[in-house]
Amino acid sequence: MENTAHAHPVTILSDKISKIFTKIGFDIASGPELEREWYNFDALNVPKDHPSRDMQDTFFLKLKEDEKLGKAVLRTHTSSVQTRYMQNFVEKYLKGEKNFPIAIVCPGKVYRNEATDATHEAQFHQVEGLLVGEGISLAHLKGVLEKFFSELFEKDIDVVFRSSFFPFVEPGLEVAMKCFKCEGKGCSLCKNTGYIEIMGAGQVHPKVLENCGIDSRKYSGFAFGGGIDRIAMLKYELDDIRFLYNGDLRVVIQF
Amino acid sequence: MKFLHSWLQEYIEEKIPAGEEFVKGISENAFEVEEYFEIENKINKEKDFVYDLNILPNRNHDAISHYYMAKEVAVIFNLKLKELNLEKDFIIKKTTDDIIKISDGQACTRFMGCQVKNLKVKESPDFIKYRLEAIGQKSINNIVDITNYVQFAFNKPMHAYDADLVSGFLEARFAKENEFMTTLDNKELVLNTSTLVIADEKNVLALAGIKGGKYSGINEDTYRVIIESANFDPVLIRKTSQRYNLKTDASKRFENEISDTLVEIGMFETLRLLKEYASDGNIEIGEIVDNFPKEKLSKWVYKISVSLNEINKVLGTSLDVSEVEDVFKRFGFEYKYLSARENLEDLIKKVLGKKYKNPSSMREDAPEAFSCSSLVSYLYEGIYMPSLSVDKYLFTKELGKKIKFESDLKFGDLLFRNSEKGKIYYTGVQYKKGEEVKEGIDHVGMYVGDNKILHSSKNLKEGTEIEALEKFMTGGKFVGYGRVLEDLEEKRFVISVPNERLDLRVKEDIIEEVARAYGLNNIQGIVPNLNRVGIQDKRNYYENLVKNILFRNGFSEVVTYSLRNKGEIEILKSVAQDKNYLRNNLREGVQESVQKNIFNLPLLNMSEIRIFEFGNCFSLNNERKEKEWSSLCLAVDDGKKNKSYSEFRNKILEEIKNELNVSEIKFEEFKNERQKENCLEINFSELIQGLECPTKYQEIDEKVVNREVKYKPFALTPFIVRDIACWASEAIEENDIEKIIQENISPLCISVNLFDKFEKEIDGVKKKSFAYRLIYQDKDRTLTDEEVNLEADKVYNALKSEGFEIR
Repeated sequence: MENTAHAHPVTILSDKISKIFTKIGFDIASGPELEREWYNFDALNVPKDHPSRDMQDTFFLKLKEDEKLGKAVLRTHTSSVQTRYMQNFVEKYLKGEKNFPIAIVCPGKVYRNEATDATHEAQFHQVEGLLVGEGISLAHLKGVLEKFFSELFEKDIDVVFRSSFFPFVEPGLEVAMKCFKCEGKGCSLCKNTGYIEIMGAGQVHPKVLENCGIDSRKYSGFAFGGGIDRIAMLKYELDDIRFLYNGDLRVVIQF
Repeated sequence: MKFLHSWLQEYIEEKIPAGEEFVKGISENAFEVEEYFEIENKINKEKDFVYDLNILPNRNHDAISHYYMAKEVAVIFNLKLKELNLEKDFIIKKTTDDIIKISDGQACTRFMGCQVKNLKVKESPDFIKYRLEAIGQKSINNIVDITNYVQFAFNKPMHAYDADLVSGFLEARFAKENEFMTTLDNKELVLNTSTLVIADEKNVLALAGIKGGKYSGINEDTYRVIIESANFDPVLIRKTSQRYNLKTDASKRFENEISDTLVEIGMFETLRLLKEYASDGNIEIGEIVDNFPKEKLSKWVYKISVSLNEINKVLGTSLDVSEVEDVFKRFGFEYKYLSARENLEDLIKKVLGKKYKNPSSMREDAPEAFSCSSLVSYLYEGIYMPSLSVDKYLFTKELGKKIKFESDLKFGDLLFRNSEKGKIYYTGVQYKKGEEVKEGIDHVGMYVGDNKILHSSKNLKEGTEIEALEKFMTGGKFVGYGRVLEDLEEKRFVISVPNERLDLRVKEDIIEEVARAYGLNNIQGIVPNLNRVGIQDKRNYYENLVKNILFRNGFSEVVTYSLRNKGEIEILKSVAQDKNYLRNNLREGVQESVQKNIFNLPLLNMSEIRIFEFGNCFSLNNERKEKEWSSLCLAVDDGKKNKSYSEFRNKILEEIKNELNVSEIKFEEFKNERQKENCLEINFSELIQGLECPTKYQEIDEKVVNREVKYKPFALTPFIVRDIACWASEAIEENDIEKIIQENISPLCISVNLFDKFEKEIDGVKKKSFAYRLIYQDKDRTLTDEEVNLEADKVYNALKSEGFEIR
């Protein structure tokens, strides 16, 4: 018997996603999973003691609180890579080492302190995208996402925006794509709606840019973020997210 | 929150699209619809709908109520909202008693109270009962229902106290340490000094903004009440509600902050409904007492200035002025449309001669008094600017660089000064916090042309005056210039934000409103031309390089949990008991995975488990500071005992060394119960530390990541293996045998695999040996050996009867 090698489905998707975006011109970035509140919340315009913090259940860690950066948490989203990257970028920009636009995509593991079931896990993967430069608009966001989904699902995919709220973007949107299986006619995958909600997105909130040292009057841009596991579950029709993390090769060998 | 169609309709002139059409419009351009369903309207027996809408924190200021939701519905469907004519002229009976008092104006920003007599507690009128029940509320009695109804109609939580049970006046104050209170639902609370309560002279009657107390609750004998309509500090309410683990409809609204103007709307509506539905026509309404410490502050109307160009730049659209004006009209926004220069000129006339006050807040003092910096903020109406003069300098100095000489100064430019007296700032405070301004700043003025400058200063007789530039310059050391807008002549919309819309504060908020009314999906996608190919970060790049080596050597990848039952960094309040630490190694998870998979070797059709994981680990250093690194762990096991893997391990390590071009790899080696040294772990962050940064994207081997995937759910029940081997004559091929097997198996046999095949001469005759592995499994139950034997016997017997010799 020959042992055939199999990559984990999250790796397969991260690789596909990364390839699509590097071709459009985005760099791939990464950041720590153990974060501080400043990067995960405050810099992203999610103030302390504000109900918008309840939008995500956070794992707090038994570590000393940092005077400037706050408590230690497990990052609840890959958006924390945005704030780290932008801050670091500004330092290099001021030294003349880097130039606008900022174009990054960050796949990575994130954590939520919530009960697990077939569609919820305490750990999962997200991919974050960020494009900041002069004159970057929602129309660019739509163009980039349409190209992305069309390449990922290997067919023309329409993207629709729905009004939503995330503190770090304004306008804030929920992104839905036309169901790749039934092409909008309605099926079990899209719960007969013809569309699948797949990520959150919007124009980066000026406060977030300012918090990272970027002049929001000169530069603007968009950010988006979505679950890689969720894409895997849809694309491969996986029935239980927990199968991705129990180390069971009966799952992995199917990829 | 649930919304009732007919209730929304009450506030709108034209007919609102119902059912699916409503859901489509709302979900695209306003709120997510969780579900909706049709019901029968109990009042008029017509069709009605209930919509469950997901309102996110930015709109909990207003839209979790029917009136303000109707306002939104009117915008989305371009309908006309009915004018809200609040009844305010009640026949009031003057009372001399003090009925309310506020002890802390920060915690309770407004408290309106009114005593109402001659009430009759009974069942609610049908329409109130129907509406409340349709949105999932329980009807209790008319008085309680009316306060609840006002909350869901106007987003203003209300409270009614039985006045007979109140001694003296109601006071919003902080509790004393260990003071007691019993809530309406019989929860005993021990309070502390950071808890705001509503109390009378003797008892705590309510947890302010969260829940009423049992003591003064409405009962069937209640005939006079005190109505409370108040507003509280959102952070305080949030912390209190978390402390006592009490989340209520009221606390949700207060913690999201509501406008102080809702306080009076709530009061008037409550009184109107009480008059109509809770008395026999002899109601006595006392004087409405309004304790409003921050009246000036909360009556300030926020202005937001935005240009057409700015709107189109964010949205990527080409809207014209009339389209944008149409949107503003739909929202009912009051606005002006003029250039910043025109607006400055208008406002200058209003501020001349107004007194100097420092410190002063624009919202509280303008346009009666100004400090130097509040004057500038006021003049640049609606344009976001930090408040302190030093921050204004940092905010405007970039454009200010265009001013080289005094002769370059234009109307509206800012001049900053260090007056060398009093408090001088040397770094940014709110804007670019910490950025240095060596010269120090404490004063700002605005150039108005003709070598003249407008500023507000304690040294000016009138407070706010236009003065000669020369004179301004002698008042201290000149520091630098600032310019607020590139083009002062460009026309801008200056919008007055409706006071309940606490979510509209910067121009991007207004741009979102334009996008929603215009239709988010009218925006056409454009792929930006970035003119470059992206590169990968170091960690992902080298990981991919090494993954390719491992895939080449037959390893599959697993991802296990980062949260485990032991480690060095503990998680506070983890929802799962077995996951309360961050892992400090990968090997434990990987070895567990080996153990789990070893039993499935036949099912996996593998002779050996070869797995790896890349993942982050966490530990503490000597100073107890956190450390995070990327780790790589590989493990091998064939399920038999004591196989030596050292040669294989060396081969892999050698390949990694060569690929990464490193001279040495540090690793730790581990064993499991069968094998010695079957697993190794490498600190990958350390390994790649000195390596060069990548300049491209490292792809993963196409063969591994580009397979056609057809995922099939698998059974979680145990499986049973039966091996069958037989001799056959030279002429027999695999297909012949497989055909017989396939004809004699049931669906319980999930896999038939040829695992061995050889030829041999026996007594001078060439013979072939075939060995098949049959796996039996049922997805719903555990099979017994007996039934599998019967199943397997069928195959044996069939092969035998075809003349094959079973080995």
